[in-house]
Amino acid sequence: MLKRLTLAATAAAIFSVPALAKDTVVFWQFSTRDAYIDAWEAAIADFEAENPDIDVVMEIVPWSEQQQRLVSALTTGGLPDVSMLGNNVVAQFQAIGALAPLTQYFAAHGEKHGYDVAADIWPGDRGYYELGGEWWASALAVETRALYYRKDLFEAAGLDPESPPATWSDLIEAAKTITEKTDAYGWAAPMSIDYLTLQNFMSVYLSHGARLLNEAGQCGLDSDAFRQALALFVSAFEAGVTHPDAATKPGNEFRRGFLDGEYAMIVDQPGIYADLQNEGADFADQVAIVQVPAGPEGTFGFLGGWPLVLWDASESKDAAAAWILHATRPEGALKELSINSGMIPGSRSLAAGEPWNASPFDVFVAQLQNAYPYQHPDEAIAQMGQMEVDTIQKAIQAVALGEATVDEATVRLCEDINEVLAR
Amino acid sequence: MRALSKLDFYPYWLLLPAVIVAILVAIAPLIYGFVLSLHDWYLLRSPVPTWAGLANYRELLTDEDFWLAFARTWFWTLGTVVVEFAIGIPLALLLNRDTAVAKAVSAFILMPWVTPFIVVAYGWRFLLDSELGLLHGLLETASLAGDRSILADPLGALVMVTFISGWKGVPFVVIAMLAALKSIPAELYEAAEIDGAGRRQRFRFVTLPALRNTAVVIGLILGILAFYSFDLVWIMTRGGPVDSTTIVGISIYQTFFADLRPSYAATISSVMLAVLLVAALLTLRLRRAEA
Repeated sequence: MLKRLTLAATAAAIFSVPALAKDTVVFWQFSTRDAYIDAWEAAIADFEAENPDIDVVMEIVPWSEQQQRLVSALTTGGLPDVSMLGNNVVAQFQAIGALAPLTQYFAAHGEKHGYDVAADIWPGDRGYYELGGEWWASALAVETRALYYRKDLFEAAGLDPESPPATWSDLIEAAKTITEKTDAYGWAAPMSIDYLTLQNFMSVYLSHGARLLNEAGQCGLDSDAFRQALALFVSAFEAGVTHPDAATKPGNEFRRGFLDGEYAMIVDQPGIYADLQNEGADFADQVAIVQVPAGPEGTFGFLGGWPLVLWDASESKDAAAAWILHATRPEGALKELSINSGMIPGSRSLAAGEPWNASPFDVFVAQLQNAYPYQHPDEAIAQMGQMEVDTIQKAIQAVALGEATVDEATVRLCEDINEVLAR
Repeated sequence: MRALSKLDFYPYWLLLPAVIVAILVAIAPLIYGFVLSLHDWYLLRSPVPTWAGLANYRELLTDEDFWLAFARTWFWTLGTVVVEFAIGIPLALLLNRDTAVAKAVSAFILMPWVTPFIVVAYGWRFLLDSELGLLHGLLETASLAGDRSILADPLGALVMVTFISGWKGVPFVVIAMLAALKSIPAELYEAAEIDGAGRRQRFRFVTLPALRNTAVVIGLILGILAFYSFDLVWIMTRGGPVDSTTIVGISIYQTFFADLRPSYAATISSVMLAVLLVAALLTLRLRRAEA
């Protein structure tokens, strides 16, 4: 009898486990910086305390490996429930059918908290995340680039430190003077096959009125506006105002160089300001930050950012969506996450308050009003991720190294882009 | 005729686990790769592969970028092996001498081989930097580089990364050749000396023939390794400047992960495997014919 009772009790214990089972949300987080990881761990602990029936398992996948990991998981299985993603590839994964829409979760969340979630997302991000009338991503952070310049080097070169370059041509002229009259290079301008190259150059070509796509949806860069922009950008290399190896150096070496005092100017993200303070650079108090220069058509900043997305393969979509909204909304963990990791939040209402309304973030927040995607004014296209890897960078590199003229590089570039679009 | 007993099958049972592992780890992915190459799978167009027959192979035949990468890969592979042997054999001969210097150097000879690619790549980038690089200064003095790093010159970059690839593989050649040198019986040299052979003749008629078998096998292994290289070039040049160092390993990577075309990447891999197989068989057959 006792034996039977024991068996029955054991069976009851075993079969009662599913009733107590928690939903597990696997979350791929791409940053490897300690401050970010700590911030995410705190947000997860907070979420799990509020939702005892959900476990969030964070896996660190470095940004440099995320594309390989995601594509591998897509083709062989093993996708997470939730992941970060670059804003420019949301359309790519949405087109593949790998993402699940968040529209209904936005609506429910907005109803619960009494506001319109979609209206709180930056207008530029809307073009990336709202596709075909559905929301496919929830903005976590936005990013744009501003011009950092060293007042002490401007002064040493006989330039007015209170008058930063207003146009791209002014910037190159100022860089020439600084390179000539000081020991520093005027401008940390990358010309290599690196994301930073395109992230710099897109502000130049958009401000010259060039468009990535024409009305027919084909390559629109075969234009005088683009050729002028390309010639102007590469003239910085030809004039020797950037590093002689700029056409082959990785982007992070330019950042390192600016922090080490090798350059007078760099167009970069907010994080470099924190790096200057943390490293105690002796010229840190001489660094000013202003919006990027303008071109003939105005000022166009780079619009970067990364959202959280819900993968369609998830078997715990409701729990995963709850985690996404907790991490990306002001009433959840977004403020703490943003402050601790030094990023600008993907929520406009949050970015209007402290600390983003004060230096140095206020410059970046103001710049966001003029920040656009590469394909501005067109909608996001699924092929942008493929183009961003190297098509435009190759054209820049070829012209910089004298391997192609501006005309030749432009023709080849459009052939490459049209080939990608035609697949 | 004797009936087969259980004992006759015993060796096959012992081999079975290894055969299963080999099939799962090596053969199955190759078959899967080949089957995939017969499909059309562009992730942006279709979430699953669809049958396409030989369409990918037909496309490959007219893919100019692939054939350029293919040619570069042969330059890279042969160049790597040549550098490995050109430096490795003399080093092995030096280390084969019983001197204090040889013993001391032996301890360091493995350094390039055991150093991770990432460290090697950044180390060489630093050496070739146009402002700080020690080697750049030497190349500039020898008029082999201008104001910019040699990595900014398309031909110079290909030659330099090939040299670095060879340099990294030198220790493998040294160790293998040293082992082969140690196994040459001293009597052979003594006999040759008695027959009046000088140093050069002893090297030509005793040492070289004794090294040949090892050299062929080692050359084949290192050639295969070089043929599928990716890490070193990717870290140092990302295939640039202007595609000048885009070898097939990089093409496969870009086709799969950037262009999102797994089946076309599998087609390139299958063709490379076939080419490598033919090259390896020819090499071995040539060797047997010589023997």
